[in-house]
Amino acid sequence: MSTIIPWNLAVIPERFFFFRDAAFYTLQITTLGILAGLIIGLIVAFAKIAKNPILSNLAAGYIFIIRGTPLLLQLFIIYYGMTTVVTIPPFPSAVIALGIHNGAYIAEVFRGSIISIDYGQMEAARSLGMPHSRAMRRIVLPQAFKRAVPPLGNQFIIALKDSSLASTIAVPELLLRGRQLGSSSFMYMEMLIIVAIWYLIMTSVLTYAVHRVEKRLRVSDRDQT
Amino acid sequence: MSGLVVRGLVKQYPEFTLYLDCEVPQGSLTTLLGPSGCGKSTALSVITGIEDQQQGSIILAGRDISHVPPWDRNIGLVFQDYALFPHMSAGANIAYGLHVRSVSRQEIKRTVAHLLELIGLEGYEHRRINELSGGEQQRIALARALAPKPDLLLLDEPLSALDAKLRVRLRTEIQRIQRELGVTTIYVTHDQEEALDISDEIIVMNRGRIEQVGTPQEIYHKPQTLFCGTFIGTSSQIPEGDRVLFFRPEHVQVAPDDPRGRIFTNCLLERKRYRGFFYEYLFNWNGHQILAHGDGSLFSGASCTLAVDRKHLADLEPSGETTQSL
Repeated sequence: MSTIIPWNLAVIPERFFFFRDAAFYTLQITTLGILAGLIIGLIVAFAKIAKNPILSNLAAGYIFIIRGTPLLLQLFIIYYGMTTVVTIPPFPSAVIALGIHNGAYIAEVFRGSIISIDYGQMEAARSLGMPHSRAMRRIVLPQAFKRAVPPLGNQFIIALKDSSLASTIAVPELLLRGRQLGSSSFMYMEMLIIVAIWYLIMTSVLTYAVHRVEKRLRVSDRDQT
Repeated sequence: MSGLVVRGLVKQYPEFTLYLDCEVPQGSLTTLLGPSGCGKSTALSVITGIEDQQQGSIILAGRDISHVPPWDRNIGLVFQDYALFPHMSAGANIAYGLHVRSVSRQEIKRTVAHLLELIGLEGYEHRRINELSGGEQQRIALARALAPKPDLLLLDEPLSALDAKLRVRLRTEIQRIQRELGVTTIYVTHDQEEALDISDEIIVMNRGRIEQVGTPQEIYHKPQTLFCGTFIGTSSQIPEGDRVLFFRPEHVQVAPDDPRGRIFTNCLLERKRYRGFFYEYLFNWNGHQILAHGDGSLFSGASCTLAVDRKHLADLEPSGETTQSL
């Protein structure tokens, strides 16, 4: 007997929470990857705007290589390519790859928002006797961070979805779990729909959170001329 | 002397060279006046130390600061666009410069309160910068620059972003505050009216050089170069041989009963403009324009005699450029 819809959609709510642990993995890879990315990004951003040509060239080279190659390749280089030197288990491999990859993008976000702050701010702080580093910390960075929030939020959402690439190196995250449960039950589509719903829930929460932060920051910026 | 002394300062660019040699007396308000591109901003950058000079020295309050980094020069700066810190309260902005100077908390609080009172914004400590009007922001910027008790206060076109009425009010305020604190001040502007209004002394600059230094009265009545004379106020310039005769319209007597001094006969009235409490006449004398003030009883096409008392005539070198637009 055939129905109009060739899939058994009733299993979606039934099996939905089979994916809880996998979703937790996805969340962990993403969070740790983003944290690593933020730290790398901040360092690389400062290196790139540094007056020292060695530092700025190193940073530029890093960004050139990482942005110019696919994340999947980077993941394979860390997981498979490094085996002759050191064997890194799947989960840390995924976190490292995601961190290095996002570091390059986040560096550009930070750099852009730092240089977008009017140079007069730095000049004003310096003229009041503040050393460069302190003026940077107290005057430029707080303002730059505000401007970095929307593009950072965007990058976080991309990172969340990119974490699915970890399925290729056997990290039991959402996508891999979907494929496994799909092939064992022959209900591929049903399982993949569940995976899609999990992703949508997580990206929605993230979008909402970024939106809230943005809104709060904007309140203090109102009527800024 | 204390105050600011700039000696033999040279700053060279491929297209432009600044020569500066001047003194700003202790406690005075001196304006640096000139058209855009005259070197005012460069002069400012060199004095503040943002740019290095190739030659010459800068002595501030008896200390040679020629090679002292900007943040150690103890110069207070007020910027054209205020450059207030938008993420801090008005009070925190004012206090900012005191934090590096290891001033106690109580002292900072007292200074901020005192300055807010001085600029007429009592109780504004906790206001956000974006809640303030342009004029209020400019006052906070002034207070911020004054808080560390600078040896020199530098105002870079501080009022150019404000509307005309507010400008007049605020420059009077700035003058009052400057007098009250007695801080040596350089006020950079391209607005001659502003300069005449508030200055103890005016330094007129053009093409990277100082044209004249003097009180507003000296600059207006005894210009030493054609540039100075024409940059400030209105005037007539009549070439005479290899010199130029220069005089102000208010010194031109129109059809006097007993003409004395330099007399111009057969002047043809080409145009008159209503200026409120007087008329401005534009005469043509042998192809040269002469500006005069009058009561409006003459009409275009009238011909009459003009006279200027000798003491109001200046005999200037023609080489300098003129800036007057009629």
